[in-house]
Amino acid sequence: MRSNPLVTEVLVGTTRAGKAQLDYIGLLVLQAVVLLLWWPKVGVAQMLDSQHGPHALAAVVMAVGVTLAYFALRAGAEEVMLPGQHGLRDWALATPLGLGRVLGGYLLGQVVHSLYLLALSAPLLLTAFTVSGGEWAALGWCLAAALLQALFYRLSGAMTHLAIGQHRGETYFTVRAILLLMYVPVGWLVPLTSHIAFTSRALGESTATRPESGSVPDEWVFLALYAGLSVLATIVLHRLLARARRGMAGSQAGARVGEAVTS
Amino acid sequence: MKLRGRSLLTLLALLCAASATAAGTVEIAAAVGFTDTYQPGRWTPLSVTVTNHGDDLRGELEVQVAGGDELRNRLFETVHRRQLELHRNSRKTLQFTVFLQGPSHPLLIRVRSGERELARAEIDLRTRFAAERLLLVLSRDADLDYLNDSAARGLRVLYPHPELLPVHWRGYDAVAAMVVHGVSLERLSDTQYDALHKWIAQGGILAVSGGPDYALLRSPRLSAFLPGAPLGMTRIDGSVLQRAFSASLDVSRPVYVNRLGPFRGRASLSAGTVPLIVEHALGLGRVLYLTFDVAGPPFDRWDGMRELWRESLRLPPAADLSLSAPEPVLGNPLMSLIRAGSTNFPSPATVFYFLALYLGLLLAGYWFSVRETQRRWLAPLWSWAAPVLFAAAAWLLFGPTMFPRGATAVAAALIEPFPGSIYARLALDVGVYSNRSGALHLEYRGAEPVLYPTRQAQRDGIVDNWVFGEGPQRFLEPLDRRRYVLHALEGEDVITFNLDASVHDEATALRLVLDNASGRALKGLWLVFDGYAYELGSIEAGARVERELVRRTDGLEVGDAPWKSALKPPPGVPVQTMEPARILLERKAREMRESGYPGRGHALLIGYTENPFRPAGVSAGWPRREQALIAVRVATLPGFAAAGAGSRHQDR
Repeated sequence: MRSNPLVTEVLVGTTRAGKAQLDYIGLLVLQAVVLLLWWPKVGVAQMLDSQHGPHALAAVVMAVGVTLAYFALRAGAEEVMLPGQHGLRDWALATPLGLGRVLGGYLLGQVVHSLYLLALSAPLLLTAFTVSGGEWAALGWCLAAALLQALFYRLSGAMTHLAIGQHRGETYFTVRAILLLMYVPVGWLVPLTSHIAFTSRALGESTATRPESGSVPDEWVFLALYAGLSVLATIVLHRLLARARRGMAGSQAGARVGEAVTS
Repeated sequence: MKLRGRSLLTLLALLCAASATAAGTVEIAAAVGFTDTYQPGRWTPLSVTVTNHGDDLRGELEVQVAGGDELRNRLFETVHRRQLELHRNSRKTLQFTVFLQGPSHPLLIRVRSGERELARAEIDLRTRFAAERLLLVLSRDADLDYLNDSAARGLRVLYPHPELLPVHWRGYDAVAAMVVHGVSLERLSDTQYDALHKWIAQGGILAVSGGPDYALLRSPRLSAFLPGAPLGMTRIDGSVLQRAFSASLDVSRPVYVNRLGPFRGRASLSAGTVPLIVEHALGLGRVLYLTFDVAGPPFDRWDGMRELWRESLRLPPAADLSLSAPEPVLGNPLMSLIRAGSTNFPSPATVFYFLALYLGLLLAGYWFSVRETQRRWLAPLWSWAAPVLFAAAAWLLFGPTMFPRGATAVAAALIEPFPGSIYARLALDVGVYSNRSGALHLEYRGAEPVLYPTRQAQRDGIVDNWVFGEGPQRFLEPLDRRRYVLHALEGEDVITFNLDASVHDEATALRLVLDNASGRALKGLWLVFDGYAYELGSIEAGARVERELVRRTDGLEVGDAPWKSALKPPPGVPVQTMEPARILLERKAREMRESGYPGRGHALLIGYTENPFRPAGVSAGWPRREQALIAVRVATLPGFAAAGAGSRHQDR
């Protein structure tokens, strides 16, 4: 894994201070606010009276899902970069690395980065977990779903960047529109695509009364859906990069940039 | 490929055939109530016999009972489960005590091994019910059918086999009285005898007929009930006998009755100096000893027997059905217990400071790394170590330290010792809840109550389905696995609790004599009488105390009504822990509103003791919220000197 320079870049980037860290600390503050807002304000007896437990964990997991997706979209669109990290176009056009290796490293790098961001959110998640009564397995499913969803958004951001990256304003609005579109109308109309609905099902109070055999397909459908979308996005990205590379063929400028990058 | 497919199909067919064979080798037979007759709305004994014609069987026997309000679609199920081990070609009878609400839903009995159902039987209850109360006659030859009365709330005479008598005292719920004639109670199992004893202690009526085979009456179990032991037979003159009974009694042949030595209680009918019917109290119940043979001549043909039985048994009016009695809305003692003592969530302020510290540290690390080039080496440390450390701290701080995850058992008990008995009534409220989803399997010991969903929950239509496990380790388990839901039950039992109290009302003072042979310490004891409450403190197990309580100096004037709020908990116990006790006492007071509580001429002794219902086995480590209140209603007697020393003075 570490032999891939894109992954190495991410691993090194997570240990350096940069704007990306500061941006994610901002998102952590948002998650902390969600945790405090959903933290139980009444006692256990009142909870038992109402027969509803605290929703802090579900709320924080949903917030983590949204923030990871948002951050991945921006990272894909190269609005935020880890310290010392190069863009996908640079790797594809300015280095002799095969596109398969570039994309493989890009995907793996995104997973590593998302895991790091999840580690940063872990204290908040565990704090919420202690009172909310969820199960480890359900939490695991939700976080796996958030990771896969973030991967899809990262690829969407990268496609946007490759397609209209030269127009900064349009890119800025497009990545946010993608997030809004996927989370609100699509998530509402097709709940199977919604991480919020997924979390609500997995960590909600109805989980305990749901037949166990019926719980697995829902979770697998979400993961399969986003895995499929990610595969499609990767193919599109591959074609975009290949086209860009063909357009750059013969240009010496690319080689010079490549030397600069690999040196 | 084709061959492999065929082999698989053959294997599948063989497996199906084997499964069907196994299922057909187990047979279920069941007897509901007494001689297959039960009264709806009452606890009822159920005998299930499982016969295994196949291989050795290890599994579970399950009885599924439906309850609830069908009209409002508020049905629920209770499942009684027992482990079952049966060798090849063997048979086993297991006894249950179930609450049969009505005849509309059949009983479903299943034998399972793992997930596989080996046998199932549906018992149609519509053909087995009786609306009348039951009179049980244990006899080989007595015919008391003349006592049958088909009027509303009348009487149905049944002749059960002694071996099929209930194993739990609540199984006698539908029984008005029991007559024993010419049979020995030594045939009963220990649990059956115990159940019979407890049933009498809590208000049952047992009538024992004498006869020539009086040696039976001298057997240990029967003689423990009887007011006195028969010493032999004695002949009674016909004219004397007619004076005692009626002139219509045929005395053409000599009549012999049992000759009694000294006896307890009183003779309610005598022929000259020979007692014919002797009765004595046993707890809240009564035992009658009819020294003549009720099924022998001349009484078997005498028309007056029906009236004689009616007068002797003095059956109380039929009580409301066990669980349909109105329950006052007084709040839930379990919720009060939880409010008084539960671990609460960590405060939002604690969470805020924790998060502020974490985010602050991340920001500080970022700032140092960016601004101070000398400390840039710290960046890897804070970027990975800080989240890991804070994740561990979050888990430890908010988890095991401040808010452990898992199930909690809650139990509130009211113990009311029966007068002149070693037993006490135990009214129980039991609840389980968890702060995480999953199975709530509570194993318990110390009491064997019959358990049923609370009437409040039934009215509100929020009753869970339950599984009750009987056998060596009893357990209860709601089938609803949601977190933060209190699953509550009501329970009843009769437990061993030997406490003897007497209160003597003297001119300016009360004299209390208390013998605590219950084996449990009594704490925070109060005596309430005639508008005054007296604090007594604690009384250790095995202690016998005599106290003189002067109204003016020892008494706290509490007036008529709100005396319950004047009571204080034992030292070191928060005042809010009184709330469950107040609810339990209020509930009891409303039950007894006609006579008042404690009522005129009565004192009430109230205190706390150890709850007999305790989590055990795999649940022994569960956190508990519990309280057990003891309430003894005692008839006050005049001056101490006037009271006979050594006698028991509690009111019935």
